[in-house]
Amino acid sequence: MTEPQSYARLAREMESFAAQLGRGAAMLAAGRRVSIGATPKEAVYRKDKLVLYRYRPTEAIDVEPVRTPLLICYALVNRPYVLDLQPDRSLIAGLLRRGIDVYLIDWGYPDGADRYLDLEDYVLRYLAKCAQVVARNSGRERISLLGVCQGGALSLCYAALHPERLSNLVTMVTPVDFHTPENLLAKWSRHVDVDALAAATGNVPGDWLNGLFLALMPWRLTSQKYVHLLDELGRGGDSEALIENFLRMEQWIFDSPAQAGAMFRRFLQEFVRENRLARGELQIGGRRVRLENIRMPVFNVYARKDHLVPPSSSTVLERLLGSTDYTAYEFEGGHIGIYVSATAQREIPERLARWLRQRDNPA
Amino acid sequence: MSEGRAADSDWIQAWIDRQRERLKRLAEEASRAAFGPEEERGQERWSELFGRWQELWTSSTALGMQSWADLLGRVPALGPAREQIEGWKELAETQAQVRELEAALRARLMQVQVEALSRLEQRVRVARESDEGIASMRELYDLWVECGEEVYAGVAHSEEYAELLAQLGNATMRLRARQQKMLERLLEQFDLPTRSELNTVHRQIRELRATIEALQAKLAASGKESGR
Repeated sequence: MTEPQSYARLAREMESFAAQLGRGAAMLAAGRRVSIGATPKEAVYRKDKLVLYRYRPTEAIDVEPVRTPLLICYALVNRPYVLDLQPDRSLIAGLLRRGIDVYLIDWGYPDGADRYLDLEDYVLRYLAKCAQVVARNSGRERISLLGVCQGGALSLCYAALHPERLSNLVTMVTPVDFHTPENLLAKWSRHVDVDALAAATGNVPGDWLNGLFLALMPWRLTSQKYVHLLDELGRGGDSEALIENFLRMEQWIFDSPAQAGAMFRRFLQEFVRENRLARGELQIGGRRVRLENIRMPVFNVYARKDHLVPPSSSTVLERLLGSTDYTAYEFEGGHIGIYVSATAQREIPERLARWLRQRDNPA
Repeated sequence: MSEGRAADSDWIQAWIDRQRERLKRLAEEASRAAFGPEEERGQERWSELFGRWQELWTSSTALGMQSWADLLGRVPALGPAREQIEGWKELAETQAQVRELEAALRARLMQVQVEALSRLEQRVRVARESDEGIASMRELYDLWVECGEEVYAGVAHSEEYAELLAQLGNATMRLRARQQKMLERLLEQFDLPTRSELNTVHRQIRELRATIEALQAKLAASGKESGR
């Protein structure tokens, strides 16, 4: 090709691609607002901004119920409704269908009045109280606890400090060792003046955290995923489902509560920078958090392609626990796919429910 | 795409050349912005800000300070406005640090884009030699993103980048803290509540709640004991 020919071809390629994206953008703009949440739930306990929900199955359950209830402790970052996004993407619905009695902590949206909430508040007051309410509600002495992401780290703390209250512990995409080489967020935080950050921000805005997460893979997360969507829409296919699924995820990703200042400072300093949880040096309420105190059965689920919590950060748990009943499951996907992908819907609730059922104590 | 893969590299190379031109232009604009008219515009904005501050200050305290903004750069911080002058000086210094670090970060990210483009060019060459080629703009775009992420990952994991990000973050926090300090002074002049006051109240509420919860727990425990 001569130079003018190659430019003419480039112009045609770009025009065709732009037209495709334009068609996609028009379809996206015409898309209606999406609804979130699939499973009915009732609030069983409220404290400050926190609400504890119990979920109800939408259909008759034809399996024997698992007697030990499951309390889900989600992260403080992002909202927990990703676990019950829509009928065909709901870990919670999947667990209910398999006979699990599911409770979930919704931490709410902290505001300026919550800036002094600290690690002790989250683990020893809120999480402890929710565990107590779930146990009382179900008439059981012990419950199962499922911690997700940062909520998994909080659950490990609670389990180590109060092992007598738990039958089983499940951790999902949970960071334990923050100093593994793949952990980019930990590397970036190494030179941050944590005290200046806490003093100047009070609560850390959710938008700031979003910016940080996007900066982990900026090309893919701020450009490619949108281009792919528009391109696929421009090609036709099941556009309504595609748009709705995409918009639901988009809403969840950017629906980011602020982080209570004192808690954020503590987490960043002691978990991320000083790696105290993995090193056995974390103190909560004057008590040392010893992971070797966790002797109950533990199921650790992590994602092979997780860019936020690298597998190496989670798998270290096995050698830190005191439990002899440890099961690990590597999900073939990423940090978000583990909640919402079709594979996750098929695999995660099934494996979790089976594991919990096998360890369901009669008393 | 209807045209054969063998001839793909020509239009692809044309696209790469265009991107390279674009980056060059952006780099030149950034350089002009850092040292040229933008800097002057920045100064103008500061003067305007100082002017507004001066108006507010003089109207509320009747100190009658004139040409406050001009004086700032020339006089030492003395007398009744010492704290304010010092505050504004600190603010201006921190603002300059933030801008400098922002420019350094932009330059580093620009370098990532340039390297990504070179990597893309190399991949396209390899693809052509292996007779695989690139058939569409979407394929080219995806390959470009892949190259960008690869180059960026190398930079993002480096100690030098972590330090730069942290320096920028820390300077931004200092700037924010100094802005808050100046604003609080202003709010105090109007007897309006400040964040510091609210912080005191929130801290006290938290302590009171902890005390109440501890007392409630003690009461519940003694109730249980006496009920035995």
